[in-house]
Amino acid sequence: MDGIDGASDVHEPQQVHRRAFLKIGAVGTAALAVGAAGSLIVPDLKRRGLWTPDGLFDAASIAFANAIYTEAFPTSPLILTPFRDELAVPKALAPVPKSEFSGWAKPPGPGDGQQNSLSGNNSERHQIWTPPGNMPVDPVVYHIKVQVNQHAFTSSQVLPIDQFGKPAASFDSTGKTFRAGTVRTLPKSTIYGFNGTFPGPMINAEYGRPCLVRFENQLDQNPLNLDRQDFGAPDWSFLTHLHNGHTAPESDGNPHYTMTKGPPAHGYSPQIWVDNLYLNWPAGGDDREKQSFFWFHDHRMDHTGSNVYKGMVGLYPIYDPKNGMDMGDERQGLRLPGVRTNNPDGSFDVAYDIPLAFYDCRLDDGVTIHQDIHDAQGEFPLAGNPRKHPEWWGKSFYKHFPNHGFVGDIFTVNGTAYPVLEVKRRKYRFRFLDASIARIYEFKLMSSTQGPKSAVSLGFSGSELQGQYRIPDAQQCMKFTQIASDGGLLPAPITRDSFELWPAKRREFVIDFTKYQDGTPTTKGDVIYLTNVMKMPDGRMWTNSSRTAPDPRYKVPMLKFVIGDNAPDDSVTPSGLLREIPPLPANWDTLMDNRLIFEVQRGNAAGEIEWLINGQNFDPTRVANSLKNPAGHTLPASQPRGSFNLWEIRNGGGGWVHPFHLHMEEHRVVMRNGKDVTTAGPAHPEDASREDLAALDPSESVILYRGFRDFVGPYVAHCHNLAHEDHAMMFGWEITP
Amino acid sequence: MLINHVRQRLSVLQDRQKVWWMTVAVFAIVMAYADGFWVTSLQGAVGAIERRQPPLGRWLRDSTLMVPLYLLAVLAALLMARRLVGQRHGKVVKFGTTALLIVLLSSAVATAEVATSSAYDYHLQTRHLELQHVSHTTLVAAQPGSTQAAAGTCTGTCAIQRNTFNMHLRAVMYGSMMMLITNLVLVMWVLALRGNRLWRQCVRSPLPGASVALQELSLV
Repeated sequence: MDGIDGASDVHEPQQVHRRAFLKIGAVGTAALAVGAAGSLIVPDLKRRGLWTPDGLFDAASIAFANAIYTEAFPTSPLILTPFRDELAVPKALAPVPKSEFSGWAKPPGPGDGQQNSLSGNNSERHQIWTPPGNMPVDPVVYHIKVQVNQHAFTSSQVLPIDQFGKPAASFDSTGKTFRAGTVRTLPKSTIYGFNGTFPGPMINAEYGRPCLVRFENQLDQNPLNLDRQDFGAPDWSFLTHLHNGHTAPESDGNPHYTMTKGPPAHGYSPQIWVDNLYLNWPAGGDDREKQSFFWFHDHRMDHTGSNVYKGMVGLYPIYDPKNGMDMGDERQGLRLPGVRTNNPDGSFDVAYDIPLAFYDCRLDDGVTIHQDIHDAQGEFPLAGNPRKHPEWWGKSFYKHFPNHGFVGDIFTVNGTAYPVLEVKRRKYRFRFLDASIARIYEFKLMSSTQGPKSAVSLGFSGSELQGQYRIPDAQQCMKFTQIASDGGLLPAPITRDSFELWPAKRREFVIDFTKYQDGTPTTKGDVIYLTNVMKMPDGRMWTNSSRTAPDPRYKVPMLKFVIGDNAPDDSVTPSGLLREIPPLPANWDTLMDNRLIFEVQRGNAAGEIEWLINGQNFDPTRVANSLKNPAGHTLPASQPRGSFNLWEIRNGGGGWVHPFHLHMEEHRVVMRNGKDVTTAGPAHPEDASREDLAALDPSESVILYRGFRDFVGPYVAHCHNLAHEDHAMMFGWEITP
Repeated sequence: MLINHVRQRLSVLQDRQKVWWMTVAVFAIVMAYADGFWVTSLQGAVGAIERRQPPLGRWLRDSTLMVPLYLLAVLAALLMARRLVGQRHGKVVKFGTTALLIVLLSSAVATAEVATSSAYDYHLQTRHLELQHVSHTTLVAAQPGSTQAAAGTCTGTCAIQRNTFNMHLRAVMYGSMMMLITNLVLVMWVLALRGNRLWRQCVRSPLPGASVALQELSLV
């Protein structure tokens, strides 16, 4: 019945009740909706760092992105017998004898045109051949060829499975189809590797003893006639960066340099060589700036991710012989674990001091369509994408431009999936490196009575299959003693139950295999698993980790330690000062107002997600500008040689994390989210040390104190999620005379 | 005396408007800000980087600017509903039609907004692509058997533009769907709250001081 002018409420008591009922129902429904959202959505938003007014929009944007950008990844076949392959423990690369390199057509040297094989204006010279104040000394010369080869991630047989963990059909290179349930042997994957290996060679370096590495591009040679598939730089160029060596731009391997000087090109093409001179000299000649573990990897513009994923990774531990402090001899200096053997060829090996390079990959299932933006650019015409590639079944699969980030489902250590290492009953030094595209790990040392079970056998499917194995009954049994981060030895050791390892980060630990954390001695045959407890189903960020929401079911064993015999041990677990940290100037906070500010952002282009800094994609020909700082200035990223400054790096949000790397000289975090962290805190104990990579949580900002010493010229800073770096979260900066 | 006269005139004026302005405003504001949330979020997912700004501020600004259009849409829906079903049908039909028209017209406004936003994003992104193409394109190494794309084939920048266009189509589709559902829920919710204050019907009923009287369409 229609009322008149709103009077019906007054004159019809029954209608008043119905209206009231409807109103109360509407209000109650709204209250219920708010309550349900509060209990269901808010915890998730908080965990993802999105519980802010802007974060709500970011969360909705992510949900839209999930629906709009569809992309599929293959499920790798299940490795049936994990922890049988031995961990590859790298040996030091032998240098080239002087008698040999002096006979090269163009031997290394400090003169004009001696830095690379290019001619004319593009042939550079080394900016500094002998560091100031040092006696002239010939560098140790290495020769590394960038080559096409093949690599096996496992010797185990595999069972092809689909995303639900069910047995799936598989294929071979001839096009033959194998029915579901057929156990197979994996074909080897094609790699581009330093000296054709993955990981590449290890150079054991020492401060005060420069190394010159001649990198020679032989990627045009394919003697095994291997299928190059559809990733890796399409022009077969390379560009090697010693991460994070204190090096001149011409040896730094960065595209801001190569695009403005050198070739100029995105990288060095086939048949070109370049001499990278690593002076092994701390910034400013200051011993407190010495570092301890570098790695070298490809940095070719727009294809760093694909080249690194295809194998261009090398290791570069650096020792400090001054006063025997950290020279790989546990009887001297800090007495860190290590027994040094000097080899007749001039190299040296250090036993009980082992680098561990972590890398996740996916293997092709033959039924996933290959398609990404680089195909549209016509870079891989032979692949004929978009299409399936059954002939590549079991070989490594890559997607250049993943909207949700690229993570693998097979976890490898030093190039081997799920390896085993028999250790002596003594202390070891392990140098951890995350060489993955985007995956972040959190490691624990755990023991188990029942051992690993396949995720499939435990009923998992989809992204829960990542890592392939779980140890459901595992318990933490040992602790780590951290001695170094990416910036070198810490001021003091840190005892840790677990630690995170972000892409490109290095962290070093002493592990004592003689006893468990409760003091019980170990016995021969005991098994300890290095276990990843961080669940990260895509390249955005983790969904579960110890510092947010631990998932007790997610315990993925990556490396099996088996306790062996006793062995002499002259090392000590450090407890006091390791390396003094250079002090901050008392007035560092006076630099705050005029700091440089860079915000990493998620944008969109080309129907895909793009990664930008200050709203710009990477322009290799110029220096970027800061955002307007509190002093009102929009400054170019140019710093005079010998200066220090504060740089702020902001995560622009969107529910992503960014491992942000700044070339040339390590930094120190002084503020995090506006708070002074110079004395560090439990969440980031390494803020009181030096780093070359700032780990940015969602919407986090850090202010870094940086030095710009010794060299001049163009450098870069970029996100080390390599899919971000390639598209195009990088900016150029420079040091001026 | 004067006050009474003004009151009478205002009452007559309000009666002639034939709608409850408060109801219209509630519908318009609620839907403008709710749809604005989706438009802003969608822009965050697929929009051009050049337009990037903190989403909260953007949402407040854009939604506020859109309120007048939503007012018009709701008003139009009410008047259309009144014309279509005002005299002849039962209450369920009247309310159903009114609600449906409000949902459809306001969703049409929302879709127009998101489509316009996407079109502008597409324009900016294709311009960005051309700049990017200049500095990031790589010459492919000479591979044996390598073939060039046939003439007329959409490759390179053309293919990327096509991808971008298709992405925006999908975005508009998803966004429109979300806003349609949101508007439906909100209209039902507002109807539950203000169902007795929708629109008024003229009835011939001589009252002192007024030429016409009005009859409300109320939910109960």
